[in-house]
Amino acid sequence: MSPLCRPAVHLALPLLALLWCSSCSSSEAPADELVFVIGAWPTNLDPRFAPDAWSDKIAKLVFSPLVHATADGGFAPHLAESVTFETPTSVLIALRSDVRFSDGTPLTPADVVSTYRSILDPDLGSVKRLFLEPIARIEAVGTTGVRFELRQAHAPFLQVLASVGIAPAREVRESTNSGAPVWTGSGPFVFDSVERGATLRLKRNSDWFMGPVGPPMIRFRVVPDATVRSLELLRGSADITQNDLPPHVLQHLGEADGVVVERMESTLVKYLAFNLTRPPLDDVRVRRAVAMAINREAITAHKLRGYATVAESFLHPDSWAYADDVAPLRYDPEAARALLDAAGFPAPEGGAPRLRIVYRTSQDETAIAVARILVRDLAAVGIDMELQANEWGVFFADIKQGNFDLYSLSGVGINDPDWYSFVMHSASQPPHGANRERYSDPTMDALLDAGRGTLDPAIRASLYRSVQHLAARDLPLVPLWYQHNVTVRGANVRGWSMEPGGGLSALVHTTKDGSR
Amino acid sequence: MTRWLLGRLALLPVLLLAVSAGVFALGELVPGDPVDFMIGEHATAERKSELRAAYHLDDPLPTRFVRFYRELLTGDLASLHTRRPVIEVLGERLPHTARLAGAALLVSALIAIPLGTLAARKRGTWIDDGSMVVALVGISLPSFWLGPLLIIVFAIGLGWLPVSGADAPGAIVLPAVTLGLGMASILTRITRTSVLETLGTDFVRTARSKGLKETQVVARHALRAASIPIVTVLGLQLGALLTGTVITEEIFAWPGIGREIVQAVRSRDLPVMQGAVLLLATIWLLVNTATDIAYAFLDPRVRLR
Repeated sequence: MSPLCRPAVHLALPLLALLWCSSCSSSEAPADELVFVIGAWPTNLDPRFAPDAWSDKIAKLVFSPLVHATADGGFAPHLAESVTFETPTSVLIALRSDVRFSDGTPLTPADVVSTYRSILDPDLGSVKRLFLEPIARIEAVGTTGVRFELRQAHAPFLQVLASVGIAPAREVRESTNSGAPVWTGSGPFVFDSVERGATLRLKRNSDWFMGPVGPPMIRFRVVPDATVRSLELLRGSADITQNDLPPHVLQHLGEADGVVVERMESTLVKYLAFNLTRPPLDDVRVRRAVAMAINREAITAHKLRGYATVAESFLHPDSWAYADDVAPLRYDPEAARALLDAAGFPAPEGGAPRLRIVYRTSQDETAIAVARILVRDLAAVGIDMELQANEWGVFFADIKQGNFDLYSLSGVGINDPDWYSFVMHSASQPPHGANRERYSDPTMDALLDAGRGTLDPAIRASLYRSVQHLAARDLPLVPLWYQHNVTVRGANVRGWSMEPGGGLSALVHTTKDGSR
Repeated sequence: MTRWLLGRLALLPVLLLAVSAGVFALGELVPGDPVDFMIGEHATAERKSELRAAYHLDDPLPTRFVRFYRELLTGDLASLHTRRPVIEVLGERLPHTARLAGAALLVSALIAIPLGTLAARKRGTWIDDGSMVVALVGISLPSFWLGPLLIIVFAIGLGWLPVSGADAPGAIVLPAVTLGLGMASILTRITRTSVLETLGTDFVRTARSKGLKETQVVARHALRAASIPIVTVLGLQLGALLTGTVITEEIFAWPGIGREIVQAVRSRDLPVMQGAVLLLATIWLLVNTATDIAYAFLDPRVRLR
């Protein structure tokens, strides 16, 4: 061997050995482990916080709530044996007697009281405290009961109960002292190991009160790049993902062997928000012109490849409170131009724009692609819309502070129509809610207050139909489309089913038949 | 030599002080309130204010600057979200990044040094032209394109290697090749130029006149003499690799410092962000100093100067 080649061979050998070793090994996901790929690390899995979608969904697999949402949009007892409205402002919960936490200790009323009081403590700083504000008092009743005293009748209270996973009182106390997150739940899975930012392993809870079900182990793996996530699924080194891939990738995966792409309509609504404190968007005619200039049918059919359905309300048409008599916002550029003329924005000579506005969005790939179409649609009616895409933190801080003309976000898992209070009640302006558009209308406030304080479903339905009519008249927000829940899974993954809100509770029924 | 070495080392603390001041300023300039990311948008103004006070975010700038240094030196700088010491968080990530950077450097050297030397020896032939085309292509391929392409070929098509992550055997190969190919392009050109220069020198002519084989002349004499710029570039590349793996780590879900920085920026975890940037800046300084020292050992003229 020549001296020139010798050092190269010495260096090459370890690398070749590495390559050889890797080719001997299988990269398929282990048969007893379901690998769920996600795009972002869940920031806080403590059920009292769970501030982002992945944290909330995964925490619910470990920490069971008193009631849980059902597929038809209702609620059913879970840790609770029964839920009784003694009066409109007093709710008695009877706990199941067969529930144990994963450390073997039984569930007691003290655990429920401790978890709720912890969230209500302003010092904890939980985002969930806002939703628990209707609770005036909570107390243990005997050895199996818990009573909630409410400040006033609160119709969506079951939704409140469904949003809080219960932790043992002892851990909640320790957490208050140390600041460490709670770790032990009574759900179908328990935390096994965490490699922060990369991998989270949950193992089956063999003591779950509904019996040990589901895969022995679930590994949530963070893969930030969407293309690489899809390749992991194609390779078989990941088994499943949900609502975490862009439409063009989904179309490609749909044509591939070994993977299954499933979809269902969801309660997740993409919407456009106007800043009502800024001219010219304080004029409803301009807002309506913007809404009518957007070709939502074309966007959902082509850019979103059919993975969305045009929405006319924030409630899904299957909702008991959906108003099916609200006039749809049709795509009509001519009518949009006429509205702009009437609002005092005639087309200037020489093709100059009628008005200029700024559209804020995050740096999400699909959001930017859609925004570019909105820019083109609005340009067709003479509105010059500047696209400003920022990193999420900057974008979100700015829209909370009202530094925007228009922006777009998604309303996640809208089950109860009380969601309208969160985004349209005048008392819900940041930091007290998500009325970032600063909409204020006494009639709307009165309707929303009445809807929240009435327990009669028929009266509530009527009130929220009026809310939808008023929202369609004033257009502080424009519902754009219902995003579909989309699951991509290996063909060998069985038992998985989707929920309208995109939850993961079906993982308890999900298994895997060996490798693909 | 000792004096020169001490002079170089004495400069390090001064540079580190300047860098750390810059890193602190960087944290101050990042838009967005860290408290919003800690407790959400619906927390009361009072609670946010309490939290700001608890984390000393409302202290005057000079006070925070002093606190930053104190926490940095005592190892008390902690994540805003998890309260874990930053040194511990980065300590978990650094070995991953170092492993990847080392492997990428190996890939770069394995490709570039033989290819550049061969191009120099066969100057003006199709081999020379071909190697330069390879170098040009390598430097032109962005990692966000090359990475997925390599995955498609070697993980999906051939099934030889894992797609991403750091756990599976061989998981390092594709990210290392993605990083190493770009680096190899620069190194190939440097090697070619440097070897070409030395091939025309008197001592090489003397070696040839002694009857040594051409391969021995090149490997033992020309390549060694040409190694000064090669080592310099390799050192700079190691620094660049340790500090510039963010995109590759994101693509391959590699749990290194780069991904930690991205997560820290997204969640406005300022201490982690500042700690990570400072660590990378320190590595960069150390690598550059080490390169200078190696340079001095390889070339006595540097010591004499």
